[in-house]
Amino acid sequence: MWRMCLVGMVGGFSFAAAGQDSPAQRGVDLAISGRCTEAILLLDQAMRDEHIKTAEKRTVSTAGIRCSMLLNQQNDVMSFLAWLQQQYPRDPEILFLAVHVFSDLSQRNAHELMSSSPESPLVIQLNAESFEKRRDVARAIAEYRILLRQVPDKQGIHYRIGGLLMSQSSMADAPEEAKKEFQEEIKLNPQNASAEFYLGELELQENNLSQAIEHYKRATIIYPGFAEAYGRLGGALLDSGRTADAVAPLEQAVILKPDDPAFHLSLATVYLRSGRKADAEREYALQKSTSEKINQNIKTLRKTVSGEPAAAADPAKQR
Amino acid sequence: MRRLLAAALLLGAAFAQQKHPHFTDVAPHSRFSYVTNNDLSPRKYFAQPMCGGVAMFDFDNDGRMDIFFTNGAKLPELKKTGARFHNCLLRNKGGGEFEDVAGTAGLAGEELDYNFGVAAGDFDNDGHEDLFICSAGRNALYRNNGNGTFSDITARSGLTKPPDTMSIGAAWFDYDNDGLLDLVVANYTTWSPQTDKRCAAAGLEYYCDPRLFYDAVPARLYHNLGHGRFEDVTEKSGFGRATGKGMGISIADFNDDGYQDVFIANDTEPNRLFLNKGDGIFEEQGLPMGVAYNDTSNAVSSMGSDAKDYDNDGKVDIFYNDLMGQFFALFRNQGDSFRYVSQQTRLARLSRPFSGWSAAFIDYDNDGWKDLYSANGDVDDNKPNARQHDTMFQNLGGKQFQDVSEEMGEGFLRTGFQRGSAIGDLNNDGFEDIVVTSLNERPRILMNSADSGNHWLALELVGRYSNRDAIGAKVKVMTESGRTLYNHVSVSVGFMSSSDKRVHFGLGAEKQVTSVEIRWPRGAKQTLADLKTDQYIKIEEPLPRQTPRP
Repeated sequence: MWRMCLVGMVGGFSFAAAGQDSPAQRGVDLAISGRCTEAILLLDQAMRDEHIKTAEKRTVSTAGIRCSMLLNQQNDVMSFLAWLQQQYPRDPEILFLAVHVFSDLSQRNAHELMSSSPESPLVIQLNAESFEKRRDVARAIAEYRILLRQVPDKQGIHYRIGGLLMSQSSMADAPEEAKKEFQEEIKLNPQNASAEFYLGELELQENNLSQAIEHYKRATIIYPGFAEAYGRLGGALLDSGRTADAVAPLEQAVILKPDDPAFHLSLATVYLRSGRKADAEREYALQKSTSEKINQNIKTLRKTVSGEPAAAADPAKQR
Repeated sequence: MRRLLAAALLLGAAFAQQKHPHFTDVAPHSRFSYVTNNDLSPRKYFAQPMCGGVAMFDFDNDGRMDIFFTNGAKLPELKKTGARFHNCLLRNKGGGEFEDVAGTAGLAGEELDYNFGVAAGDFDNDGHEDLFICSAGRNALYRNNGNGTFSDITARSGLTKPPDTMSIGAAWFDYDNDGLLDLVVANYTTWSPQTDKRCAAAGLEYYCDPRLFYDAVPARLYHNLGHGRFEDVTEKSGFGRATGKGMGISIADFNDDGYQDVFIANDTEPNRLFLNKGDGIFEEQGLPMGVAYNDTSNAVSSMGSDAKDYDNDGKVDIFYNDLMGQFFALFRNQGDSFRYVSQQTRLARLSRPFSGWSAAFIDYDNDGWKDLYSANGDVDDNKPNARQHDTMFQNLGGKQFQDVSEEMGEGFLRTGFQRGSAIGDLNNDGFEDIVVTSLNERPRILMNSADSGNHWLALELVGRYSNRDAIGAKVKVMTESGRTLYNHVSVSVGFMSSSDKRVHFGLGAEKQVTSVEIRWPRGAKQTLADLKTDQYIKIEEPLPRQTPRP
């Protein structure tokens, strides 16, 4: 796969600055022809050469990634990719490449873990996570419980089970069971802000606003960058009539995540109820603009993914 | 002695576990050919998922609720090319039997286009319920002649709309309290078979995402001028300033100022709450009032809606359903704004697997707490769980809901692509029944088993100074134990549908009502004292002195 990608992405490129016979060009040519053991040294050397332009280094590092993947030299892969990500932070081609690199590395390391340490509890965890990704909730929970029998004090596992239980709308006792799991998690790791957050969510579902507020507060103390926890804290304070107290957490949520329309909406509501009409108007406007931006992205994404209606589908053209 | 004790224990056990009524589909007992026909074909037109509006109303004033169904049309012709597309009027013969009299009543709609919603209301205050039908194509106003027939008076009514406007639902209400029912129509977009977009994957068509190809349009408001004439006041009333993809319409006096407001659930667009200023102007306040979005600030696929007081605090709350993966939304009215309470009431968790269309508050077990019914089924038929059963979420003391659908009976649990529904008492036994359509199937007429042992009271309000249907009248009931219950006259319920106009109260174990307070739409207050339960009472509005009907 990496060999084919290599030809597709760097084939036909020539180095104007470095010259046709430069080490960089030779490295890329060797990479294209699959002679990666020879290529990798030249590519590495080219990346250190200050005279080679950034655009040319892009080709070199892309070829470097391909060759390092073929040679399974993961450190080199990461170095080449780190350079690309730093130079081209939002470049779709680089992002796409990174998706494949990490996905492939993930699989390779999973196989390595299973083959080198089949007895490790981490193999069980990996298996559970795999079920979780496939949305096979029952089997994922079963695997996590096996893991807990082996390592009862392992942090993060009760939290994972709690999260899975919360997704089970058909289980009547799921919220209660989830609550127990999050509480167990906090016993093992009092610094788990997410577990505190979900306990807040469960209390909110039961309309226990004061308990929800306490959990959200603890989540923000543990992790001051937790925008959702600030948002929920503000919402819960607002719902319990503590409008003035809700202002600060919602303002913090907006600072942490200025692109989230929900926080702007909540903050606008708080401002409105506090008599701060101008601030409310500003937040409503921000809610609208951030929401429109998201919708526009969704629209574009959907059109790109599912395609515009086919030309043949135009009723006028059908007739 | 021991036997008596055993009997007492058994009785205690019976009381401890209250029996839930269930529903039985009696439609198979009646001969009628109506099938909700959306002209399904491999060519998927945008209009097809929305078909099968229902009205439950007493067209012949015999005291029994009759049923009207709208139907689709041939596509792309957009015409009712045969009887299979005709609309249907089922006359209630009593005993759970119905007969189709649409042909003789003049309501088959042979000349109509692709019909969606229907709104029943006595717009001319002559004591006979009329019908307004929404369409892709022309909308239609049918005047009830009072002799079992209807006349299409659309042409001279002034009920016009911009070309190709797709009108989904409508609601009668008196926005200016002049005693005449006005009309609001929820429009979705502009569409015709010729402008229909086609979406396909791997050679199979699917219904296009409305966000990508269809623009939002405003709802239209028509002022009733009397004598069957209406004026389009969309622009001057403020309705024209807020667009949407209108689905359910709910009418209520949300801010308790004596004027009827309008909530419109919009598909993939912010919901709208038009607050009536009382001077002919409405202000769209969905965002500041907190009902435009759910708590994540996302515009979801809002579908059917209803506005009732679910927690008996005297303030009208709002509910709407939406598609699976989203959460049905319940907004509690706090007086000055609404609070989204789907999480707290467990509705979020209960509703996630369902795609809801029509919806209603219905106190199906008469315990005095309005439960939530949803007619479910996905938009398209291309997902494994697309066919769905309806849901009944029981209201537990105005705090939370629990799913009791499995107890509602086989007829209730029939899976399909359910769409329109109406709520009302078809056999006048005091327990509310449900009529629901399903795409390309016969409708279900779900009769309530009425066996919870609970008591009830139902009022038929007749306006004499206010609109005759008394739409908008508020009723407060106080029971012997001091319990206070609230309801109001509201027929626009759910999606594309119109429900029984009578005001229903479940009373639980209470056998006596100490007082009934009525606030009529035009302001008159009326109080009745010491009423026995388990009866229908017809109450006429007291006339103000020297004030003639307009």
